[in-house]
Amino acid sequence: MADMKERTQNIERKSREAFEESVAALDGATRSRLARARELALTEARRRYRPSFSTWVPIGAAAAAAVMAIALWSGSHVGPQAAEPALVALEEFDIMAAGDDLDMMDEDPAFYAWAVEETADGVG
Amino acid sequence: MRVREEPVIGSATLSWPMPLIGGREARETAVDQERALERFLAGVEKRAFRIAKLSLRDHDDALDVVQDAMISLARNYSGHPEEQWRPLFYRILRNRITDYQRRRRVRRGVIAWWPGTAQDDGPPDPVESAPDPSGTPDEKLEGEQLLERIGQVLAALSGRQREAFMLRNFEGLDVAQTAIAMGCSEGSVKTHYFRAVQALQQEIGEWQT
Repeated sequence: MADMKERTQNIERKSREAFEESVAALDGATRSRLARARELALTEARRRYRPSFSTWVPIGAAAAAAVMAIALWSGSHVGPQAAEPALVALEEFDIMAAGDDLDMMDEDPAFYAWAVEETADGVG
Repeated sequence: MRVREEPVIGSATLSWPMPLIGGREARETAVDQERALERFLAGVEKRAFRIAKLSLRDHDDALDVVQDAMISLARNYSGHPEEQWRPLFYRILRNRITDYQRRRRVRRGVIAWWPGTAQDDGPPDPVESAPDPSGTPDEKLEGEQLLERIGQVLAALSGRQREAFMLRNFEGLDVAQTAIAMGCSEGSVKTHYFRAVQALQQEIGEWQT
């Protein structure tokens, strides 16, 4: 049991170290591409957080804008949020179709012993 | 057990008109949220790229799926609490990787089936035709060689086992977060992770001796 745990921890540690090394060794061109991708994502986020028009408006125009905002917010349930139920539905379909293999507990005592140890160590 | 995504409540969409109605405080909140998102993406992008590349075995495809996932998170989920971003991001990344893999299979099927396609020896071997991700021999570090070997072993696993191992061990997600990212139960995460570790012990242990 202790030997299995030690071997598990050993392979976990070695693979994690190799992964961290590979992340640190990423070349400059790839890092640059990732930074550009990040900027694109932040541009998308800014479109959500900040309207493109000026926030300084006269009182009358502010009232009209508030009415429009409420109307657009109500309308936004049809727009972007319509995509999210579709995303959820698609992802749930993926989950149903995945076919998890859950026969370990009956067929593999080694897995059961490992799972007990993980729980005792407070892992996860 | 299915893990349902939280429905988007009003907060994310209400944040849009707030800079107009709520004034300076709302604008500061929006700026803080942008900065938090930038910090998160900057922290996750390189690791996500490596994880995507281990799954797709292609440099450009990995960059594409990471970009897609970042944009999707920013567009659809940046209004969620910050502690949810990591598992949500990896859930999106996983879906994008799956999409790419499915498209590749369809493309190979079409190429194989289409009459007149130049195929000397039948459908291409996906392992042989996968681009070598390891760079030139001079660039290889011992760790890269080990990671390449790990990548080969992971590529031979089921998608679920591969995901569970990379998310738990490389990215450090706990079981609950990994379950959200993978869209499965915590028990399934443990099952898949255990199988992946077993396979790695068997293959990597033999390789290193």
